[in-house]
Amino acid sequence: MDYRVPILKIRDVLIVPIQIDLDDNTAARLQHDILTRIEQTGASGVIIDISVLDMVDSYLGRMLGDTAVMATLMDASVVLTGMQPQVALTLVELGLKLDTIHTALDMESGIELLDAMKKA
Amino acid sequence: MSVLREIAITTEHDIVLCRRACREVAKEYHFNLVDQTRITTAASELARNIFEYAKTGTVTIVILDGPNGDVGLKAVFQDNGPGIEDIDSAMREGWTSHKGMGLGLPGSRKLVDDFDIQSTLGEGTTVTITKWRKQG
Amino acid sequence: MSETTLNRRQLSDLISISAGMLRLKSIEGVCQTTAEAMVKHSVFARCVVSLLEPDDTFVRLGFGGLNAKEISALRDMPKSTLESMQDQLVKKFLIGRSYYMPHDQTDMQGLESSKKAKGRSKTDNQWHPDDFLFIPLYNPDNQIIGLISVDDPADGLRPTEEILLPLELFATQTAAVLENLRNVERQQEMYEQLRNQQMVVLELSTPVIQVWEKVLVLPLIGSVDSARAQQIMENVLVKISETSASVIIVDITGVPVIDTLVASHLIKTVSAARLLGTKTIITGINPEVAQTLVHLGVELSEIATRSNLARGIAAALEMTGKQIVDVD
Repeated sequence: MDYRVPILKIRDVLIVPIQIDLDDNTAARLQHDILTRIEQTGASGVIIDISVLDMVDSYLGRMLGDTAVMATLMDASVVLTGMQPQVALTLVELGLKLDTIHTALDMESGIELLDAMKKA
Repeated sequence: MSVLREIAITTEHDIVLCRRACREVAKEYHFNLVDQTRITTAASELARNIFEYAKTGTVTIVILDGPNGDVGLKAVFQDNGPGIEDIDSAMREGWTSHKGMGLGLPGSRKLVDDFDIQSTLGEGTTVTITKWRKQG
Repeated sequence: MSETTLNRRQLSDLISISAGMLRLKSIEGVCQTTAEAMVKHSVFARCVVSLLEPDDTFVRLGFGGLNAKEISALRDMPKSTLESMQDQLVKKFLIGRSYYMPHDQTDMQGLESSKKAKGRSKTDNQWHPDDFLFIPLYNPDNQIIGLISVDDPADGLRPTEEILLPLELFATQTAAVLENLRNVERQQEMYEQLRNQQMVVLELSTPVIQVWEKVLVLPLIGSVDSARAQQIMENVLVKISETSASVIIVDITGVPVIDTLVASHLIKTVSAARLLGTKTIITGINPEVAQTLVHLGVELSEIATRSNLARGIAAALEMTGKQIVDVD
């Protein structure tokens, strides 16, 4: 249970691959870790990849949405990548739109999106 | 009807174990991928409710044999917590007295076919959800 | 007890059993009940109920008064066919509606054939162990659907019309119950077929077309009900994921009216597609639909719309870094 989600840095982008089903404590710690790394590195973008997650509930959804808003306050953009279709459908039915966070189909298009946002 | 799993909710990590058990049973009984996800997500919300409001409780997963060969997955979330004073407002979106967005009860109701909630102040709350397997 | 009272008691017993059979759900159960009732409420000590299969063979399904060994021996015996019975089920053997075949007039082989025949003249009215007696089961078109074969009469006598009448009545009831069950089975098969066809139609009616790399079009045509809307949502999202599409155009030119439910499914699809990282453009909103959407209070301000599919495709290409230009 002492699992920590790894945060990798490539140029000025943080890559956060969530590889396992997170419990609430680990999710809360991840938010703290991401914000701390943004501060430490001055990263301008964060990619959170959830392509292996087979479920996102309201707690994790809220955590992701909040992290995006907090990162924006620190001048970094967050892109959520790789959400599975049935996860998206269930989230929407649950009533969670996550409209504070940018999304992309996969990590590659996530990085493209961050590049485009930087240019704009 | 047979009881397939019984999960005691005592720690935060039990929420993960509970939704994992629901996923396994839904998979085993060939629910489609979207419905597996709906069941798992609803279970996660309701197990968290137990942990947040009552600290401890139990989740029971059973398989129902309905008419015409229908198969239903039923999960019962039971606790001996403080109970809910006003169920109607608890079922409205946005209502919460804790963390989360108050989507737990109303949200999980939207993900399942049957939803039932019984609560007595000072005695506890029982939420029962059922998802019927889609044919074809 | 006189014979009439016996017959009346026997009849009422058999009728109450056949009434009970209406509750049985399996064809085999009906055959078994019939065989057991025959043994209990007639002079015959053994009974086998066989049904005619679609391939014209008889399958033995009900057994009365037989031990396990005899039943398994019967099951191992080659199946008789309707054709092989043609010589037996003839008028000269008819008693009432049943067929009685004295052993010396047929070459049929049965379980009893191993027993030593007691020397008796063929003119007496004694039952012989190698005799056969069949009570046929008829469907409403008077075709044979099965046979009740009985053996070993307690009185040791050849059957008479009086003895057979109540049994034939009972057989008629059994046949009716069996026909009923078969009809239910047929209806269920038809229902399954119909439902499968419905699923196919549902899938055919929601095609998602890839018009360009990363651009999908979903043309909605006709009325959309809740089940179809749900199906469409799931199809679209899976297709987006499969093709890595960055834009999906939902063309609703062919949707005459839209209600709250369909509108909410539409919005859900847009939200879920966005979660995957895909933009949605809605095209072909007619005046009625526009009015309805506003009156319903549907929040569409964040959704890109274009007047028609052509403009939608142009916009989608632009979003993916392409442009449509005139060739001089």
